[in-house]
Amino acid sequence: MLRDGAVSAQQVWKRFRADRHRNLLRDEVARLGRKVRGQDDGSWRWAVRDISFDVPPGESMALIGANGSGKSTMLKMLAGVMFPSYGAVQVAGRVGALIEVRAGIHPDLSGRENIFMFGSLLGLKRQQIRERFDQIVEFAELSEAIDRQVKFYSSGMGMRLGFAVAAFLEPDVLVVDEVLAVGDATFQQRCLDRMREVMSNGTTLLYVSHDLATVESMCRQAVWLDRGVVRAAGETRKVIGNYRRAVEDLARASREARQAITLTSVSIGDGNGGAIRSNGPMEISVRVAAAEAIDARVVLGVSEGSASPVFVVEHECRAEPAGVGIACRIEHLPLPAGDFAVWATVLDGGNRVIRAWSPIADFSVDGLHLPPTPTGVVRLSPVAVETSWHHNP
Amino acid sequence: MNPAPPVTSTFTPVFWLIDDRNGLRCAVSASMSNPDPVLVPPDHLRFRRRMNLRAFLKQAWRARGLALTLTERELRARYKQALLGAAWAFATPLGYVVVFSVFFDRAARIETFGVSYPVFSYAALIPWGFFSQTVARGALSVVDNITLLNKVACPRETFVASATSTALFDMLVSATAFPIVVLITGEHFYLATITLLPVIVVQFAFALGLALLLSSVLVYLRDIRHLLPLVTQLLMFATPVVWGLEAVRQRTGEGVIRLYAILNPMSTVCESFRRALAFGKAPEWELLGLSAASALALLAAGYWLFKKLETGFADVA
Repeated sequence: MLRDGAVSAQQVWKRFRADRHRNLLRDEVARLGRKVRGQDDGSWRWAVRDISFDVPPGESMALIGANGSGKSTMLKMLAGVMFPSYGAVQVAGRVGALIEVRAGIHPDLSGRENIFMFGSLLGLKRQQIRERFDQIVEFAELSEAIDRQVKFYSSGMGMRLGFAVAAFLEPDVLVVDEVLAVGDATFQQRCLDRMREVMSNGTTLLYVSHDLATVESMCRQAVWLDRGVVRAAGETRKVIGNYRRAVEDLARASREARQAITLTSVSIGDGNGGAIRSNGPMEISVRVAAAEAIDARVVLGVSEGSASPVFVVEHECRAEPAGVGIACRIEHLPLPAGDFAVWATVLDGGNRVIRAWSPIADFSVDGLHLPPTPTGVVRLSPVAVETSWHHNP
Repeated sequence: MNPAPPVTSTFTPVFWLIDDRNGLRCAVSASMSNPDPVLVPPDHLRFRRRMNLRAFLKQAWRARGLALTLTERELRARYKQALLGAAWAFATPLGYVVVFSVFFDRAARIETFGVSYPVFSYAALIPWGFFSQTVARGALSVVDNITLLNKVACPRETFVASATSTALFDMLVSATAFPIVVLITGEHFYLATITLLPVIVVQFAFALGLALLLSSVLVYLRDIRHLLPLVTQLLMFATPVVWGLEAVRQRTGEGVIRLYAILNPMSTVCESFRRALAFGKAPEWELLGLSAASALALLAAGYWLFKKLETGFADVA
C-alpha cells in the first residue's frame, strides 16, 4: 500500500489507434473482418513505452521533452483520465488534475455557478467550496464580475477562474499540464507562488511544461521523455542541462554549415594534462579560422548546458584563413563539480555577429559540491572571472 | 592548407541515468527505458481492469456532489436561455396529449374503459417522457462531454446519472400538469397514486441501465446516435402509451403479457401509472416483479459493460 501522495508507474505502455479519425459502424465491421481472417491491421502507435518511476509523497517531479514525446499521455494516466495499455499506475490519495483549466467551464453560467461546477468536477464538496469561495474570487480578481455569465469574460478571466478553483483544492497529488500559458506574467507568478504554497503543505507535484526555467524553479526531480521512452531522469538541473544540450546538438549541425567563421580544434583541460577541478586552473584553446582575414572578437561562455552562461570571457584577435590559435587560461575556476558546456560567438569590428551563439564543447569539473537550494529558490550566479590570454602561432 | 576538421561534439546522446553527485537523496527513482524497445510489451503486463463492484459504487457515491452539480448546470443552462423556462417541461407532454386526443381517440377509437382519453394517455405519457428523455440525453451524455472527460478524472457514470436525474426532474414538472388535465376533463384523483413509488424505482433502474449501455457503446460507434430517435419513437408505439394493455390482454392471454413485461419493462411502468392515476388501482404486483427483475438485470449488465468500456473512453476522444 502506498502512502497518501505517493505516485508510482510500473512498466507503463500506452498505445493508440493511429487511424482513428472517426467512429463508424462500418469501420468496426471491416476491422472485425480482418481480425477474423487473422490479419493484423497493425494500426497501433505506441505513445508511451516501458516507463517506470516512483515519486514519494511531498516530492515534486517534472516531465520534460519535445511535443509528442508522451508527457501529456503519461500525465493523463497519472491523473486517472486515461488507463495504460500495459503495466500499472498507482496514485495514492486525492488527485487534483489541471489538464486544462477552461475545460469544465460552462459559458452560459455565471462565474459563481461555475466555481461550484468546476470545484465539484475537481472533487471538492459543496461545503468546501462555500468555505473557500471568497478566497477563490479574490485570487481570481473577479470581484463584481462573478455574477456575470462566463461567455462575457475575457480569456484571461476564464483562465484565472479555473486556476483559482484548482489552487484551493489542496489535494494529495497535484497534476499540472501546461496550463499557465494564457495568463499574464503577474498572474503566472501568483499561480506559481500558490503552487509552492500548496507543495509546502506536503502535496506531491507532477508538472509538465515547456518553460524550463519554471520547471527548474518548481521541481527537484525531472524525467526527460523522448518519443515515449525515458532518456534521462534525476535531479532537475542535470536533466534539463542534458535535454538542452541534445536540442542544441540538433540545431548546431544545420547552423555550422553557414558560418562565415569557424572555431575548430577546441580543447579544454587544466593546462597540465590533468582533470579540471573547482578553484583550479582551466585552459580553453580554440582555433579561429575565417574565409578572409578579419578582426574578430571571440566571446566564450561557460554554462550548465543552456544558452545562459554562468560567466563569459572574451578576446580580440585577427582571424586568418589559415586560422589562429588562441587559448584562455582561468587560474581559479569558479565552478562546482558537474558537467558544463562552452558556448561561443564571434563578433566583427562593428559588433556584428559573424558566428552565432552556440555550444562548441563540453567538459566536467571535479571538486566542490553545490549545496542544493530549497524548492522554489532559483539560483542565478553572476560571476566575474580573471583571465590571461596568449596566442599560439 | 589543410582543411580544418569540423568541431566534434563530445556529447553522447545515449540513455543514461544521472547519478546523485550532490549527495541529495535521489528522491525520484526512474528506471531507464530499454534503449532498443521491443515493439510489443510482455503479455503478462496487459492492463486489465479489476471489476470490483463495491469499489465502483463507492467512487460513484463520492461523486454524488458532482452529479448534483451537473444536473443543476444542465437545468440552469437550459432554462436560462428559454423564454418559457420550466414551462417547456409540461408544454411538451400537453402538446402530445392534444395531438393524441385528435388522432388516436377520434380516428383510431382506442378502448379507454370509460376514462376520458386525455387523462388515459397523459397518465402513461408521464413515465414515457422520462424514459425517452433519459435514453436521448443519457445515451449522448458521454459523447457530448468527451472533451471534459479527457481532462477531468471522475467516475464517468456520473454524467449518465446526471442526465437521468435531469429527466426525472422534467418528469416531476410535467406531472404537475396532470391535475390540470384531470380538472378540465372532470375525472377524479386517486389515493392509489402513492403505490407508484416502487414503479418509479423500476422505471429509473431500466432507463439508467439502458442509458449506461447505449452511452458506452455510442463512444465507439458514433453513428448509432442517428438511429436512436427512430427506435425510441417506434418503441413508444410498442408500449402501452397511446393504447391500453387491458384491451390487448383480452385478445392475447396472460402468457404473452407476462413475457412482454420481461422484454419491455416500460410497458408495465406505463400501464401502472395509468392504473393508478386514471383508474385508482394499484399496480399488478406480479407483472411489476417480472419487470423489476428484468430492469435490474439490464442495469447490472449495462453497468458492467460501461465499466468495461470506460477505460478506453479517453483514447477515442
